[in-house]
Amino acid sequence: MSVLRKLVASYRALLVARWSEMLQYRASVFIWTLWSLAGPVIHLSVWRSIQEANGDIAGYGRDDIVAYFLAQSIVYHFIAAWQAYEFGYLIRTGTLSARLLKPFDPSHHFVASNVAFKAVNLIWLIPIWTGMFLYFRPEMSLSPSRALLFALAVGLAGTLEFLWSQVFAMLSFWTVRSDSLFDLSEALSFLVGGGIAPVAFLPAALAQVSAYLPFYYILGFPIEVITGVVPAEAVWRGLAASLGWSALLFALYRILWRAGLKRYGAVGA
Amino acid sequence: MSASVCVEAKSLTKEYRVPVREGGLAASVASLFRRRYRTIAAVRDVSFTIDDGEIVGFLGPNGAGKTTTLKMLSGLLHPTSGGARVLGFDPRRRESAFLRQITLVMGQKNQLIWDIPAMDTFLMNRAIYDVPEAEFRKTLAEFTELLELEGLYDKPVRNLSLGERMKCELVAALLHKPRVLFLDEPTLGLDVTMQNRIRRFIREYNERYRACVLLTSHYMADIAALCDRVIIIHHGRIMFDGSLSELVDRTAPFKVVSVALSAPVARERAAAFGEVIEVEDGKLRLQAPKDEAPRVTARLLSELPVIDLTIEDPPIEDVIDRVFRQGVERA
Repeated sequence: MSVLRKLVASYRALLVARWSEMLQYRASVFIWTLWSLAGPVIHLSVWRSIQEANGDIAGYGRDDIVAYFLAQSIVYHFIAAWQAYEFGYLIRTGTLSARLLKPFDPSHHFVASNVAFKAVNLIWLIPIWTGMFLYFRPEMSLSPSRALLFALAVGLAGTLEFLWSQVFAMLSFWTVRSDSLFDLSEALSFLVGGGIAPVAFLPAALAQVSAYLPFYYILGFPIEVITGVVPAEAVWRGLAASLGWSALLFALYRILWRAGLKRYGAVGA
Repeated sequence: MSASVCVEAKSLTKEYRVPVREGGLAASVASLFRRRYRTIAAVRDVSFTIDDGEIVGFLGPNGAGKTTTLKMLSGLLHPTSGGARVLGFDPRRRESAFLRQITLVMGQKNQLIWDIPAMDTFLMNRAIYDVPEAEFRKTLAEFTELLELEGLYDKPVRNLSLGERMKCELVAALLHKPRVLFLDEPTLGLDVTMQNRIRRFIREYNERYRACVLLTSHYMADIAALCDRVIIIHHGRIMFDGSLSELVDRTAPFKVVSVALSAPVARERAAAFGEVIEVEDGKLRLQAPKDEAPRVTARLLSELPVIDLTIEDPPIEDVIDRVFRQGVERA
């Protein structure tokens, strides 16, 4: 019990620290957040004009497209993870050493930063999202049970993306520039995971690729849960798949972490 | 291991394999296909023990292997061969019970979160080390007083001066009251007053908590003020382990005699008394073998118009410099 109490207390202190750190740079955090909304809004406009000119795409009408990209702007916020960019820096500057000297797994810092960032930004994102829905007014219905499933799917998607980023972060133990590898994976995710368009729009070959990767469960799946594209019985299958991918990535991250620490112990920073 | 031994290094050795190649394009291309490596020993067969409550100075020129040794003792680096026990733990395993009782402070690295007040880092450490609230308040008040840090905890760390930041680093590193302190250049770049304050603080902490301290510094004043015992490391090997006075006796068995004269004296004449270090106007500084110092002093007093006379050990900087250049003479 005392372990749990200690963990809760540590998280509280970490969250407060990271939260106040973010509030030091309110303006840049705000601009960064606005920038993250630009993608979904642009894609929304592009696909809307194509649909207007050529008719429905893969069964998506005007409201479906609008709903998809509005939901995407929400999901993007909850799945953000960036430690793949940070970890190499921690190694190079020796900050990792300072954290390794504490009786506390350094990864907790990433979790806390991640949660703090997402919580702080809700302050302005909630009014912005509300404004966007009021402006575009997509016709969609949302039952409380779907909303709950969406929350679950987004939570798992956030975990999945966090672990994906964590795996790439661990590669920094071996290569100085693991962040560019992560960028590459993000580009692939954008293409086949539901970023540039709903997975339903993809040519068969790309959809095939997507099926073997976790990206759909990170982005497309939670969006389709809230827009109602995924039928009820498939939601649970999707959640199970997200959980499976998370377990796999977690195991991979732990293996890389142990091996990485050995290497760090051998060659140092 | 006896109960009073805090730190034990047993034949600690650390070797690095570094890629080598000549400069130029051809060599650069060749190295793509066939990499050549050279093994460099940063630390070679280093053994020592430190007891509870001891403050030991760890000296050596840049690149001698001091930081590598400290990193091995704190579990950050794994030795290539040999091993260490710190409070009975193997540092490599980084067990929680071990990490709770040690600290490593590096003068050029920091743990304070840059953009927010130091207090936030302290509170974070309080939670991580599970320090009870009352004890935390008490320790913090004590450190604040000792380091004269009143009123600095609510400023973002980036707005603190170097000295203020270093003092806050020490607070962050010691709030959990570790029993073993590894301090790597804790006074680096600080002014004399600040160095003094930090020295006093380390001494005070050591006395209050009977902590053992292994300290590296390039400021001999740090070493002279804090350490009864010094370990000298050079090219990864231990060259001396003993008290400062023993080091002076062994490597510089002479005294420095300084006299003020009422009339100038020529260098040639002064040389008759001993090895002249400096002669200028009415001042003369000589070096004389320790056992001859009384005789030289008597001669100076009787043959020269002496106003004032002092006999001292040579400056510790000179002694250390001599060791690095010539090695310690085996007595």
